[in-house]
Amino acid sequence: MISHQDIPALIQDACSEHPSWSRAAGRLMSIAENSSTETAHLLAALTNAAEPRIVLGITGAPGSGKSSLTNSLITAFRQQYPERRIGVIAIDPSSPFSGGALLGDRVRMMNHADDPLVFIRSSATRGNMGGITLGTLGVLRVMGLIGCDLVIIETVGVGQSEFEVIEIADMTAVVLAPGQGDTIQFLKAGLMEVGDLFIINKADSPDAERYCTEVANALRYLASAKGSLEIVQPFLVSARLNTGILQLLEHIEIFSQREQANWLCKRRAKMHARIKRVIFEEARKQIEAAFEAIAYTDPIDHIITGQSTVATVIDRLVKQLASQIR
Amino acid sequence: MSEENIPKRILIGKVGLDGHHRGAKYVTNILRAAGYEVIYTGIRKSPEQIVASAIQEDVAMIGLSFLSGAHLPLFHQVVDLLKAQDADDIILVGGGVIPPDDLAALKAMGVAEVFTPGVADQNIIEKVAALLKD
Repeated sequence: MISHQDIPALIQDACSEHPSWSRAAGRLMSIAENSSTETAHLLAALTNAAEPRIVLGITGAPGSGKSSLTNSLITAFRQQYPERRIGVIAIDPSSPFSGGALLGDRVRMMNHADDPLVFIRSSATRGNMGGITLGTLGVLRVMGLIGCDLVIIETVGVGQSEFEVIEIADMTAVVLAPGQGDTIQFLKAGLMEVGDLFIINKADSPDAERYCTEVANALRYLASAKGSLEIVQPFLVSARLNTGILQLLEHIEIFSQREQANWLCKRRAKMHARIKRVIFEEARKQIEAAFEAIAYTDPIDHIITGQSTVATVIDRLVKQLASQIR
Repeated sequence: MSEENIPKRILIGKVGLDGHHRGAKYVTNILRAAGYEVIYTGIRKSPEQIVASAIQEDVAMIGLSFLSGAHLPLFHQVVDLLKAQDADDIILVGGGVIPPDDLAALKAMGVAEVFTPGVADQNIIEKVAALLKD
């Protein structure tokens, strides 16, 4: 087990030219993922370290092509900026039954595996809702330390993850693909609210153009409903045929140049919101554990039979927890 | 999640010109079900890609599946690359169609365990757990 005593040496190693630099970076990322206590030491040591210039969140339903698109973006980025480093944090779900996980996003990105300017790290959600935790912040800081200019965070793509990623990314791209239902599905899911840009992938499939028009219309309605003059146009791309990717990267670059100052102000505030929710999530887990420990069934029975209210039970539970802590 | 039961990470992949991935995927699944975080790399990877991935992912173990007959030279390259990057503490295991005559050579090279056809799931899980014990 690595401990915080190793952190300064690992940081020095990770910044060096020594062949073991990537080993050190990988270890620092494990420290961030494995222990919130050790993460505190890591964050303290990296307070003044460089941060990535752009943090791009990529979200979208499973199978919409997030990993393939990330792969295409890596290729385009490496062509466009041959001297810059790019990082990827790819999050996949942990099994709630075994605690294990199959981290398979990397399969789509293996062509870049031995490129020293590409650093890919797979993360499992480990029982956290969308998988974006304090540990993710630590991993992101290490990406900054090793000089990543752009970091892509690829979400699990279901449930809470799209709302979590906006709190750690500067800009968030929503990936959609034809065959995922009509735009009502898209509107219902609330994806319009999280996206800074919308990418329709699988342009090589026959329904793609029609779907793109539908999404463009939906985005226009939404913009006018909000009284916004800025209409967001979806990007039609094909990760498989590698079309539209360079234009997409160019757009990300233009957007980032326009918003850079704004982003730097927002990073801290967004992070506050994220960490606050991480704390609540942790507190919830502790309450659950405590509730199990003091497990007595009658209050629940009382609620079922209407003899007591949820509020009175909560009141009793809180009092009991407080006395336990003391 | 308490800090004692953090899942250990294992990379499963296939090196060289060998597209038979059923065994590798099967092992990936039983390891996931046993509570490991498994990074699957897919087929036809180079030793360089496997080693770089294992290092970036900070895995405790690399499992490589071979049905091509090229296990000796390819394992050799993986071992050398791990050494060159101060990563030879990562445990290596192998699986697939590997003749019994080659097992001694693989072990001498530093491959901790080799799982050949017919081995039971439980056997794999137990041996992996024993190898990954701190």
